[in-house]
Amino acid sequence: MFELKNVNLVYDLGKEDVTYALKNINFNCEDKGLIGIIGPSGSGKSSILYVMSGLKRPTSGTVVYNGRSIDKMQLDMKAGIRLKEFGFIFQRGFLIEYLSVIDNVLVPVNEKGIEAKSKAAILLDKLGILKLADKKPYQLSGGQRQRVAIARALINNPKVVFADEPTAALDHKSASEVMQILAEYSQSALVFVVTHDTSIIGDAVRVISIWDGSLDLGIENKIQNTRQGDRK
Amino acid sequence: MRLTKTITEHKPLSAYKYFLNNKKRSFSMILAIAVSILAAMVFQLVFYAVAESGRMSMSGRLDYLTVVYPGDNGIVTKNITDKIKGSSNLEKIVPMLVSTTDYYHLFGNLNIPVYEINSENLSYVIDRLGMKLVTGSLPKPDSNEILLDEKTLKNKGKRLGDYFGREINPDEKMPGKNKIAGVLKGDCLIGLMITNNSLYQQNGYLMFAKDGKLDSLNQVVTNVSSLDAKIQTKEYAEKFRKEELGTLLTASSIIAVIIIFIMSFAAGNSSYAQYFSRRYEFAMLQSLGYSRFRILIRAAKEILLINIAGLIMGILLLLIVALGLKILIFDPKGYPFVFISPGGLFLALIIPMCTMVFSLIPAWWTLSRVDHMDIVEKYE
Repeated sequence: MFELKNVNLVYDLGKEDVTYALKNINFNCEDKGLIGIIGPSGSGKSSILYVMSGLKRPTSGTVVYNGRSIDKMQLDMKAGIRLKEFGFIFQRGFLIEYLSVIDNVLVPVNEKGIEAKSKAAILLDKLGILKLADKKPYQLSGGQRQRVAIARALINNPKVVFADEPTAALDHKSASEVMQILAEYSQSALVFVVTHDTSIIGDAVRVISIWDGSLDLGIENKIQNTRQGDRK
Repeated sequence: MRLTKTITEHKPLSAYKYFLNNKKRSFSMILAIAVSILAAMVFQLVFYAVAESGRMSMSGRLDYLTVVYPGDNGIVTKNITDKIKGSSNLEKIVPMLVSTTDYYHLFGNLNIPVYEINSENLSYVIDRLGMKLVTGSLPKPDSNEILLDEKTLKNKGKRLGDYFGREINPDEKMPGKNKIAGVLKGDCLIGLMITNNSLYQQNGYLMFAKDGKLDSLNQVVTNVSSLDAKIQTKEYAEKFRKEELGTLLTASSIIAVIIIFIMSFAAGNSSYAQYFSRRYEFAMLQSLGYSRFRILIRAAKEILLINIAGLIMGILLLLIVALGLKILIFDPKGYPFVFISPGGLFLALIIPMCTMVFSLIPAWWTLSRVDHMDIVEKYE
């Protein structure tokens, strides 16, 4: 589904000291499953998500999604794909403060029909916050806001979910519940989870490790071996 | 789940939803637009009243007759009268003596003619001017009784049977002490008196054309020397109207432009502040996949809704205020009144149109300058 070929993302291009957010990234992945992206702060984890989702254009290299180069698409086409095929979970939820919880969930589809509302209600129920459907974001805790963001990401049945530190604001129990939902969703779609907490990506079919903008294959293989060992 | 409450009739990103969820912010903008429309239209109402009273004092009668006054030599020269009488377009000449009385409008005063004519011509003149006697009776000849139109009557604060004139009020232009015998209703400001004394054509007269022939008849008196006669025609009335009201109309236009400018500036500032404060929302929407154009269309719909609401509220406020002005000031003072004049209507529409444009510009500017990824990364 995704293929990244020699992807570089460079900041301060043209200046004396350029900064590589991503350096020569190559990988591909199938159309379903949970993929964890780990690494320390500033390693380029989020940059990978931004580049894959078309939010950022790589300085060089190609990002292919379903056979099409995302980086070569027109802005409107990229936006259309993001709206219809991708779901986003940002670290801090990024909710519209004047809309109710259920309306925030419905933002990507922008529909008013009973069908959409019911679907939003089911998602909120699954996430344990249905009773908060009429509340405004400022009335919610950090964890509750994040669950709303997750429901919003899933409302349009995306083929790909990009989750940037989705459990950062949650306690351990809530984090497990959220990851369980994402893992369940990854049975039928591709889910990328950026995190620095490896304990939450136990269900990942693959873990990609980033260090200073480059893939750290040593750690990736080590994690893979450990997980295979655990399964045995 | 309480579906009754959560299932609403509007899309989450609809303009109406924004309006409902931001009532205070939206209402302050609506109120500002409404008050501007109200202010501009009340100004127009006042200007219309002044302009219309000017029209009624001149065109109100000169659309139906032509007035011939003595020239600088003190009489209407005979050959002028002969020329007029020789015209096949002439229906009648009504000899008269003229005096004037005052009509005070909001920015000054107008001279209203009072024609003293022979009794046999009174009904003819009233009829030809399209006036009707609504109360009282026809004046008695040579009795200082007068017929006055109802607007001038009200403007003087008088009633049927009251007296007015310089003997009562030294500031009054009309000489003597005159009793108001009857009230006329119609499209002109005028006074009429009757005398049985002989009136001579050389002292001036009212000239009536046959149906539809006034313009042709007026050709006869074009370019008459002021020594021979002084003529007031339809064209004269129009020229007078343009000259006298020119300043007024300029002032009115300047006030309108000032109101539009202030409102546009205020709307632009308020819009900028509003959309700048919503840049996180725009960044999030862009990140989710909404294009700038789609977000701008949404902003345009919000602005349109607010401006339409402002326009409706402004007109409703105007109806209330105008009704109050009509009952408390315009009717008692005999000022012509119209709820929405063409100029007022133009302003009522142009104000929200300008505020819309000047609100959209900052919205577009904010959107075009928002780097949504910059905001997302900082926020994250």
